[in-house]
Parts: sequence; structure tokens; C-alpha cells
Amino acid sequence: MTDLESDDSLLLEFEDDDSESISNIDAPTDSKATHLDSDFANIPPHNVDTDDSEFDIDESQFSEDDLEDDYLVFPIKKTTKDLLDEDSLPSLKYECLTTQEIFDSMKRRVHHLQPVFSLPPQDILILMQRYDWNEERLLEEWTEKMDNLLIESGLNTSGESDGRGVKNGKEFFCPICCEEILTETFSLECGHEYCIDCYRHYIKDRLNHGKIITCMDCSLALKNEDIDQIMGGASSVKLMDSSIKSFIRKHSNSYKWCPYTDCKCIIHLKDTLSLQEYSRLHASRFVTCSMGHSFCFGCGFEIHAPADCRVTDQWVKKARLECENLNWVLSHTKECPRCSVNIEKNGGCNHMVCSSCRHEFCWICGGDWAPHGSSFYQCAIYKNEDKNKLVADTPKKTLRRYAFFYKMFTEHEVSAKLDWKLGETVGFKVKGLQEKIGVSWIEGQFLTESLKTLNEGRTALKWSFAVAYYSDPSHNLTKIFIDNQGLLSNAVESLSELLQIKSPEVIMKRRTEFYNKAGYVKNRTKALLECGRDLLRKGISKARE
Amino acid sequence: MSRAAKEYKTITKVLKEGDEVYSQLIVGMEPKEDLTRWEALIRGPSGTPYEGCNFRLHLSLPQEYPMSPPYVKFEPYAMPHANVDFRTGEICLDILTKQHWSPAWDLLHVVQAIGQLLDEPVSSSPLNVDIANILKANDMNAYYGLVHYYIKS
Repeated sequence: MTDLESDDSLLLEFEDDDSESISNIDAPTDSKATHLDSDFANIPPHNVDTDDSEFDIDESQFSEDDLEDDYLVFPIKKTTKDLLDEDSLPSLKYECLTTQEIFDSMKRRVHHLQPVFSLPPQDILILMQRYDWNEERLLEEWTEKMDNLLIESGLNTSGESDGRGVKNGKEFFCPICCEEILTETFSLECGHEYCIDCYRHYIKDRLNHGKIITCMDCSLALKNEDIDQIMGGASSVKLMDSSIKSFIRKHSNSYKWCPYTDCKCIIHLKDTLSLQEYSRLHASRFVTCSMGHSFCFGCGFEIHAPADCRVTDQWVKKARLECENLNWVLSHTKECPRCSVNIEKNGGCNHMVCSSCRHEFCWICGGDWAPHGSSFYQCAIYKNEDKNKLVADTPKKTLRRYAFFYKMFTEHEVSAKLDWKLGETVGFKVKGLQEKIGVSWIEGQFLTESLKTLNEGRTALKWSFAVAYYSDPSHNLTKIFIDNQGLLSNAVESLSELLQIKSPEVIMKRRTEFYNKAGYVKNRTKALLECGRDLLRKGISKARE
Repeated sequence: MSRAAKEYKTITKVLKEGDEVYSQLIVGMEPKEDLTRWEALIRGPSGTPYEGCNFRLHLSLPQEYPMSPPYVKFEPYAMPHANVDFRTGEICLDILTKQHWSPAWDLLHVVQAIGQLLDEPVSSSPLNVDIANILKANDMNAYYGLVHYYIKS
């Protein structure tokens, strides 16, 4: 472990030197800016918005959770935490909400506004709806044209509430359905009275439109209490829900639906100012909803660091175009390089052992495993063989180059999926530890943590190939980036192998190994992400057609 | 059904006795087969290129009427108007959409609204782009000329 760590720190230092010198040469303002950024990041994230406390629930919860994890189960993480604080990015302030929660906060706003309008809350709710829940615009218009605003919004200005509401059963001729029957009726102050059945039909259709519902014959608005009175139960909730949904559609810059199937979470990004900072640094705004789904706030795609949204977009589009060309190359089975038995990969690790001839080989390059294991992981390097010959890129060669990177990308994607399956067994393993050896649940969490780290490492590795594909291969930083890929790849493989162990006794015996390897993967992941961002920031890696 | 019957009574009454608003516009209006399909003949409003001509409207009531708006079309290939599709006779009018329709309105309201549309075409939401463009350019001669050309042929 000590060996690895010193190796790691050396490399980090080297990177720092490098970036420093580059920024000094061609962009002196850049280094200044990074200093400013780190200042910004050093401000504790909690002391900002203290005035509207209802808006910062999730952020604080988040970091507390993280901290708890740190101290209880994952001692190594403390150092990584420190490293993260030096990150030059402003922390993202966002919260995960449901439509109901947004509506509740709107209701609180209504309560705050009440003294300004001195109207019943129900009426203010109508005004807010009319102005798409935009408080500032509403207040502005209100100071300009008070009474007209009320009339335009369909609120009764006469002050009388005579005739409003449901009236008891009587013999009534309804001009809508033209039936004369004994029925309940409803009307607003305007006196346009219709039978309750017609009103129900009328409202039912409109609950999903998210707009104020008015009297059938004039512009007087129905309030939520009227709707509930007519429809019974809490039907107005449905109208508020659709109104909030249309509000979200109109504010898609700061509100996004979680893209996962059937997830009803909405992410609200609070400081849109940090967005500019993020895109300037080629970092992406990754958010996690309260169901644990992580995605990129910018493009709605999965976590794609170190690639930024542009690279991701280009890469995915390219993959779609090229996939038919390449699919035949990348079949899911491979022959054992020694005995030619067909082998299907059933675990995330690239260290293959042929079940028939016991030959150990690397899944990616098909070479012997022995040189991979302890020393440098050769497979993550794309060797530019014809480097010395200055030949223009022929289409065939570009395709070959792309094929390599695409292959690496999909290898890690498939591995990630297999790791995901592996993850399903980790729960059982933790349970096994509890039942067979009597390890407490909390102590067994190092397995879950390791798996999480493994997944994060894999995702970063996967997307790093998209960045590498678009990088200038001759640049020094690209070489460092590829070295970093190799190191992370190595770390991920060895952690993945560790997680395949089935026997609970062995797992407990090698527990420190889990800690160390997971910690190492974490550090390597972070180094790769930073390096990738540098590539993008300095324009060495550029998305192009 | 009683709603349709009621409308039938009102419409025949209005047409027989004459009404200030409607008799100017409506030449004739009667149900086809049953009370869910109607045909109306309307007079081109004076002061418009449609003056002196009559236009046929087809109205049909959906099952959910009056909760849903009626379907209304002009006779195909007969109505050159910025908000009418010339080939199908389809009309672009907000009150005929489900979102804006109110059950308190009836067929007479609809016909009246269409008469108003003939008087005041909305060039910003065109179904007939040629005419809408001419209107936007405010070229009245071309507007009259084009409409007359279509009507006469």
C-alpha cells in the first residue's frame, strides 16, 4: 500500500507542475482564475442561503450523510474528502423535490405574501397560478393595476360572496345538458348556474391542463375549495399538480425531471450562477435524486465524467452512426488464445482463466495475464504504431483508431453491467458475513462501499475513452492521461477481482485489502477526472464531428 | 340528446322569426339525417372580399357534446381564407379547440364566431399561407383579387 501511495503522490505532483507551466505560458489569466476558484471552494457550503431555509434541505443532508459514512465505515475516505475540498469547482446547490413539495413551498410563499395583498390565501393562489408562480412579476403588476389585475384573474371584486357554492337539490333546468331534473347545482357570484353533473364533466377534463378553471359562461375563476366542493375529495390537488408541472416545463433551466423510468423526482438547481463556472471548467453538473439516481443536469445523460456534455453528445452520436460497422468486431464471446474454447465473460474482471486449459489471459488484449498483474497495465494504451511515418489519416486508419477507443468504451460498459450483477450478490455476501461469522451489518458495509467505488471507477474509466479519442495524441498531457487510465484500469480490475471472492471467511481475512484497494481506486478516479478536465480546459481534447 | 333537441328548437325559431344578429349571417341551417350532423349556409359579410357569396359549413357534434366542441369545416376547395385549409376546409379557431371551448356555447355561437373570422382573418396563425402573406403585407388589392379568383373558379 505504501508503495502505491508514494507512486500516486509523485504523479500528482508531476501533474501540478505541468499544468502550472502550461497556464503560465499561454494563458496567464487562467492560473489566476483557478486560484480564485479554490478560494471560492474553501467557503463552507452551509453558510450561504440562510434566509429561506426551506430551500436547502437536501444539500445539508447530503454532506452529513457523507460524513457519517466516513467516520463509521470508511476511514480512508477522510483523506479523499480533504482532497475533494481543494477542488476548484463551486459546490452545486440543488435539492430533490416532488411536485407536492414544490406546491407546499408555493403555499408558504402565499402565506408570506398575504399581508401584501390582504386577500384570502385561495385568491392569492389564483393570482400566483395566473402568473405561473412568478412572485416578482405578480407583485410588479399588482402595484401597477390592483383592481384590474383581480378582474383579469377572474376574482370577484364586489366583496359579496352571495350565490357562490353548491346549492341543494331542487327542480332545475340546466342550459348545458337541457335536462330538467331534481339535482344539486353550482354557481359562482356571477349567477351562471348549472347542474352539478355538467360541472363535474367540465372540471374533470380541465384538471390536467394546469390552467385556472373559470365559470362556463364568464371569466370568473373557480378556487380550489370550489373544485373540491364540486368534485368531492381533494381533486384540486390534481389541478395544482398539473399547474406545477407546467411551471417546471417553463423553468427547465433550473428544474429537471429525473430521467430514470417512473422516477417522480425533480431536481431544482439553486445557484444558476455556478453553471457558467462549470461549463468554463468543462465540468458537468452531476446530481443525485432522493431515489439515488445519478444523472447529468446539463444533458440528462448518465454520469459521464471526465467527458463534458459536448464530448458525450458527440461520442454518443458517433457511436450510433458507427455501431453497425463495429458490432461484428465486438462480439461477446472470445476464444481462449491457447485452446480455442469459446469463453463467455461472466464477471467484471478482465483477468480470465480458461476453464478447460487453465490458461490465464487478459480479456482485452488476449495476451498472457502475467505481465499485466503486477506491473503496468498495457491494455489501456492505444499504441500509435505509425507515429514516425508522417502519413495523412486515411479513413481506414481513423476507423481503426475509433474502433480501438469504442472497443475500450464498450468493454468497460459491459464490465460495469457485470459489476452491477455482482452488486446484487454483495447484499447476500454482507448477510452471509452477518450470519456465518457474526459480523455486524455496519461492519459489513465495506463491501457495499467497495462496490460503489468500483462502479464509480468503471464509469470514469469508460467515459475517459471518449475524452481520449478526441484528444491530440501527441500532446504530453494526453500521455499523462493515458497513463492515468492505465493506473485506474489496473486498480479497478484488482478491486473487481477481490469482490468476486465468495467465501465469507476469506473476505473478512482480506478486509484491509478491500479498504486499501477501494481507497486507491478512489484516488486514481479523482486523478483521472482532474486530468481529463485539464485536457478539455486546455483544448487538447475537443469534440468534433 | 335533449341538448341537441333544444338547439334544434332554438335554431329553427331564430331562423323563422328573424334575429338581428343571426339573420344577417345565416342563410340556412338544418340537420342532416339526425341531430348530430348539421349543414349551414352563411353569407359573406359586407365589406369583405367574401361579400355576395354564400359558403357552406359542415358541423358535427361529438358524443361528448357540449363538453367537447363541435367539429366544423367549410366545404372543401371552396373557402379561400387565411385561417381555413383550402383543400380540406378545416378551420383554425381557438374556441373550437378543447382547451378553449366552453359548454355554455352552442352551434349558433360557433357559426357567429366563424362569421367574425371571415371579417377579421388572423394572419399570425395561418392555414392558407398565401393569403396570410398577402394580408401581412397589407396588399388589399392582391387580397381581394386572390379571393375572388378562387371563388369564381
